[in-house]
Amino acid sequence: MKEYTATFHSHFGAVKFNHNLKRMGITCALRPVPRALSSSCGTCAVFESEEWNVTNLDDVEGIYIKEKDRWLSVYETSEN
Amino acid sequence: MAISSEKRNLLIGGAIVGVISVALVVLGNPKNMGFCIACFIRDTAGAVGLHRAAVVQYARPEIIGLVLGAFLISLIKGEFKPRGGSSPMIRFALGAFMMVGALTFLGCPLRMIIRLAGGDLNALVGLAGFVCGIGCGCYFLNNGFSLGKSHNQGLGEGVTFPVLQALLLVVLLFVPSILIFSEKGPGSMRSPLFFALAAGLVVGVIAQRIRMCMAGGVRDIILFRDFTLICGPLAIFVTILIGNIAMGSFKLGFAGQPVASPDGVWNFLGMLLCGLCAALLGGCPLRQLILAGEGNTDSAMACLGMLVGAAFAHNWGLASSGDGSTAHGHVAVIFGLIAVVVLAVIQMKRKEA
Repeated sequence: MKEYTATFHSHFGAVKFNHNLKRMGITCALRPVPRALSSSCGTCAVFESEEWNVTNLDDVEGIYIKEKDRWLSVYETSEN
Repeated sequence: MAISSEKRNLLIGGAIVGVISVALVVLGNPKNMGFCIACFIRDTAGAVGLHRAAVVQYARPEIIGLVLGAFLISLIKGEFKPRGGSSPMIRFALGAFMMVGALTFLGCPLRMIIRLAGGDLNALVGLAGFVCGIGCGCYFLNNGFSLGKSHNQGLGEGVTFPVLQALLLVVLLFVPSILIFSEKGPGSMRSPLFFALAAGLVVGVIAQRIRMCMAGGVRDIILFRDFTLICGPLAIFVTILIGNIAMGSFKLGFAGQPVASPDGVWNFLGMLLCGLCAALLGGCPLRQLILAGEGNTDSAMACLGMLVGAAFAHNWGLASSGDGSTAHGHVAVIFGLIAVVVLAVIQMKRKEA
């Protein structure tokens, strides 16, 4: 099981993502976005899963995994 | 007890902002007004003739410095990203109402902390309203309120707001005769131009690096029980409190406080409106300036809304003074609360959508 951190275009995008994952039985919690990931102070979702691609990614800006002290991007939206 | 590096940075950054705020007052800014984003944008609106309140007109270099500091450091750190297009008109309106609420209380959330550290208990009433406003905003955020996605924009779009600030600085330095300068009142009380500019630049850099936000700290406690962002305002409060006590300028009470209205109900409701708007915008007035400096044109729209809101607040007699709040201000705050709640409801989407 890996711990992923997803960032979103809006707070409500994070709320919906959290809602969907909980319905699927995936452990997920909403937190402030870490400074290392963004200069904005939005909401991120931290979830535990084997795969990062677990649900609809419409509102997702990026998904990251932390290895030691480094954040690695596993998904970034192609939308601008 | 170990603290995270983010909290440590916020504590150090907040302490530096506190020291600079004390220094600005010592060097000439009005008491308990080392920094006030609402007051300083209001003064700037007066300086360029958007309102005619003779006692609050001065193109405050602190505001210019804040935006340019955030702009330069975000460029250096590769975080300058022109983005926007997320409900610009709503952000403009929320910025304007946020300013009306702040000028009813007589201070932005940052000055609320500064006033509190000076012993002004009216600010405690304002703080209660601010927290309630953010609480209401969090309710809307959790139940579907969204201003929509922002999108990448061109370089020109992102740099326009910081460049406008730079142009204002050029005018202030080289053709000040076309600006209006208060000869008495708070607008006439100013620290030396270059110190104020440097103070703004330093605080702009710090605020960008540590994401300093008065509203974000309260919001994160309500939404996530996370106490990271609140470390910034706490450090500002403690530093200025120590500074005021050391200089003998700490005065505990409600009456006779500098540039403060004694109307408790309207201090509460003004900051309720301010907090609600800040939560929906995603940041306090200071944060909007910093994000605008980073190329966020949505925040630049909120800043323009604050500028226009400040002009209306004085042209229509909405802003409070040391004598208290005004009947026009009461109507504006109630109207603002109703309008913002209606806007928030209109913008709510369903969770399953």
